[in-house]
Amino acid sequence: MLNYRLVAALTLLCAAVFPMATQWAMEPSGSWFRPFVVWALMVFSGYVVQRHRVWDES
Amino acid sequence: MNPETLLAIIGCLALGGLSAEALLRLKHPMANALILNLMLVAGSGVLMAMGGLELAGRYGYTLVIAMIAFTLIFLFSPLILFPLRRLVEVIKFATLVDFLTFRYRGGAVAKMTCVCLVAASMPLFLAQFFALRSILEFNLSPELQSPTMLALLLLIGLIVARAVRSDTASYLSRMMASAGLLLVLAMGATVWLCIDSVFGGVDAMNQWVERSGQTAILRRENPAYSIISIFLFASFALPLNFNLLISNQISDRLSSSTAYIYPLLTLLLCIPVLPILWAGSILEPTFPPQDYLYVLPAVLESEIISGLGSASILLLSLSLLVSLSIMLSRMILNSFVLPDKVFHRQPKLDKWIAQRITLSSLLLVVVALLLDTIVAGLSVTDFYLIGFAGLAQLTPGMLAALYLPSVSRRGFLIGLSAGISLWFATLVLPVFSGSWSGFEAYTGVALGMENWHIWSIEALLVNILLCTLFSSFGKMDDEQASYARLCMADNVYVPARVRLDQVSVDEVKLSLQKSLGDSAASEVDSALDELGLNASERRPAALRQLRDQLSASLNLRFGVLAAHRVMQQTLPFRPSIKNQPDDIYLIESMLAIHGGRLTGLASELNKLRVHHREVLDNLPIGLIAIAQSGEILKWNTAIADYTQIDKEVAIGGAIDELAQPWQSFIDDFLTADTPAQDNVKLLVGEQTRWFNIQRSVDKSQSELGADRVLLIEEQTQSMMLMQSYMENERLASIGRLAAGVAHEIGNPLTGIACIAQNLRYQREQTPIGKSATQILSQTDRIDRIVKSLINFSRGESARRESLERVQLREIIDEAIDLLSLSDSQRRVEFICTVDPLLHVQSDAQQLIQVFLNLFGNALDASPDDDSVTIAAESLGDTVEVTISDRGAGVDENIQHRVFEPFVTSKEPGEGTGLGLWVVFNLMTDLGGSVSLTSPARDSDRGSTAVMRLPCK
Repeated sequence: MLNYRLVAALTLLCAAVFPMATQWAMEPSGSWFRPFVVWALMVFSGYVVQRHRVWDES
Repeated sequence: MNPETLLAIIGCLALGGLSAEALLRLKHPMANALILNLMLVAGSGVLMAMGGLELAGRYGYTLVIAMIAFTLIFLFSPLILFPLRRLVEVIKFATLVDFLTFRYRGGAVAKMTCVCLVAASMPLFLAQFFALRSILEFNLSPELQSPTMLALLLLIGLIVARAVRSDTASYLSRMMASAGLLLVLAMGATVWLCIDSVFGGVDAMNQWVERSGQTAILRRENPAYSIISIFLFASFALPLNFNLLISNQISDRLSSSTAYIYPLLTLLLCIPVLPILWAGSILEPTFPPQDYLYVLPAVLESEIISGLGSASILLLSLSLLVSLSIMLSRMILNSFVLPDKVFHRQPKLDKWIAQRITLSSLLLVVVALLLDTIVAGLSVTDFYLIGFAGLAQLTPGMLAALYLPSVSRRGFLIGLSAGISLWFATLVLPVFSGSWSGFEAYTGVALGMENWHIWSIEALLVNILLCTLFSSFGKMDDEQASYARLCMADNVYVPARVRLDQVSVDEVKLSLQKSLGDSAASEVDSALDELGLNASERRPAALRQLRDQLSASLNLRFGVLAAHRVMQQTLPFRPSIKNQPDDIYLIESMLAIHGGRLTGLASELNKLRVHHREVLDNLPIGLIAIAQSGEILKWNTAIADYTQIDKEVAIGGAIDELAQPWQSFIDDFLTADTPAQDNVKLLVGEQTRWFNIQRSVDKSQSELGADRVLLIEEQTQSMMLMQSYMENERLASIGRLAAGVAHEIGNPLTGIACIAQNLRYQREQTPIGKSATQILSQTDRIDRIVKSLINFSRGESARRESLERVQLREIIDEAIDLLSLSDSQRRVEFICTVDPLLHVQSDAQQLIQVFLNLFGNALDASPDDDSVTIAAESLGDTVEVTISDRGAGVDENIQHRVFEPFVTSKEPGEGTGLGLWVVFNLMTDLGGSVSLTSPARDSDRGSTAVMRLPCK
């Protein structure tokens, strides 16, 4: 069943967080690895979402 | 040729293989998750190992965003992959082509999708050959390169043949997992070597980056939008991603690990790209950036790390060539060959299919090799960009399948044809034939890789636009519409409640044999095993489940088209799938299993469903819901108790398959004119039972499709009680009549006695006088009996307000006399040892009734020619009377309940179970008590009734 809270959260993420994160990652004075930090945060959010999933299988 | 590097390559290959094997043997969830994600990494490994370096060189940070987009499908797996997995659980399909064919229906969809996928995958084949050639050119002398390539081709052939024959998943998984593992190690080792040897540490590298202005270079303007979009769309349709993630051999929990492990591995593989690229810009080798993974370590004289890089790319290319060719071959076979194949005429069908897949795979590899010799001037990155732009054409149709039910087959086919044609004309053809000046003049944009970012996006937009346009006009047929709804992401598969022509598993086997030949039996057996059903199953719902399972398993074996044909030919639905009500039984089963996934309103509705179901299940009267087809939809606990037929057995079965007498009982009522009948008599075994039965009024227009509901209430106890009351009433009437008769007998009897006395007085010493004495004796006896009857018949009216002192022996004798008047022909002797001097405070009539009941029970229990002993003993304030028989006794289970109403150890119909209950109540009224022990006192059988009566 489609999880509408997740859809809403992802939409918010894309609309608000992603442009901010992109701007921070691409700042001329920033370190070269900043984009990777943003990516790592996305991976972590994926882990958090999956950790709270309820599974039917035992 | 450097022998050390060759040795390192061989060693690394062995190391990778052993490590993957060790991981597989661990069988730990984390190890399994790592293997799955390493396989995914291997699926696009050459892109990361070679293309990534070149992409970073070309587009800077766009590589990072493109790779993030490439992994977004996994990060957003709850929106894309999990709905697909839900569908795969029920429908089962092995490839993307099968999924799209299932959704959009028809052979044209299968063929078109297959052609597009093969065409779009061909550049990926070329990229693998490019990588292999690069490795061979770097590590081997020119004269050894061609023979080695030939040897690699033979190796690919052997691996394909082996993988197709054996368990493809486990065999290829080892190879791909080891390739992914080697890639991770190679990237890690190379970046460590570069930072350490070239820059002298991380800080030094960071300072160099700032000094050289590399960050500004990385942030330069480039066609980021196209790359990100195409990478995102291509990742959906990449055959390996799709096949791995919908595989039924991978659990939901395991596949969910791809949401973070795969992006994490990709991140870890992308971080080294920039340092390696920067080290290359300092070392300036003669090779392009895509070769840096094995070139830079060689330049830095680390043969082992160079060998590790070469080994990883070698294994990645080989494993992708093998897996991709097998997948595409299966798609080709499912779309072009098997739909028209007559299976039962083909001996050793599975072997035949395996051979065709092997041949087709080898053909694909050879074609790719031939194309590789023709194509020149493109890099690995170019091949991937062209391939991804082609694969991206399939994604709109795939996403529409999950979220847009209004997209029609026509829209999908026209959009896909236009998009793939534009892709082919603008990006593929120029590779072979150069640019078309006419077309360029018309569009004003050069064709080929030079403007990849324009043509790839335009092809995608044309696809989406035409798909939307042609789906908006015209109406979808019912079949398309139903499959479109079925594939929706938030849809639950609801099978229709239809019946098959077959009524047993054996008939299903026979029918399937017509299409599948000898393999039908094993197919049905494995489907039964999967469902946990047995071969004697006859319930329509179970047979429908079996059909669905067979259809799913044939989908996996032969593809959607061929499976659909086989099922339509052998196990068609009767009459048609449309306009049939939903299969409530399966919906219930599915909601019971998957209800936990529901959220929001659906979850609340499910709670309401569970509540209503429990209410119906726990109704104190029996409830049956029957479909028009005669299939039982509901069978609650009460009806299961009445019939002793479990609900698991009844639900889903046909009403005419029920055990007798229930089948006739329900069937007769369903065909009866009246919708309600009271006290319907039913012989169940040897027991007569009564039921009130009602049925719902036929509402043919209702949404339920005129399902019938029966309410059945057992009335047996009420009927027995009523019959007992009627018997008592009849006996009471007879008693009253007997009193009248006795009174009427009294008058002539007095006359007879007077005459006999006169006669005796006149002829005292003659024989006539003696006869008169006998007549008087007999009339005395008749008089006593008549008085007893009159007294007993007075019953309640004769009951005294206060107890009186009565002689116990007299009461007992009178009760025995009365009992002897019954029509019983039993030869049982009553032995009374009660002292005539014993007296009790009691009501004579009630006491007679008590003794009559107890003696009657003792008489019934005793065998012929036996005796019943009555004794009494004074215990001070009370007198204890014991009545012992030597009959069968009372069952231990009901001993403590014998004084309750309707409890009897007699056979049904012989006793009402009210006698001892009456005794108990009368004894309580008389201030005494009664108990029963079995076996009888001082005996191993029979029973003793013990009464205690007050004597003061």
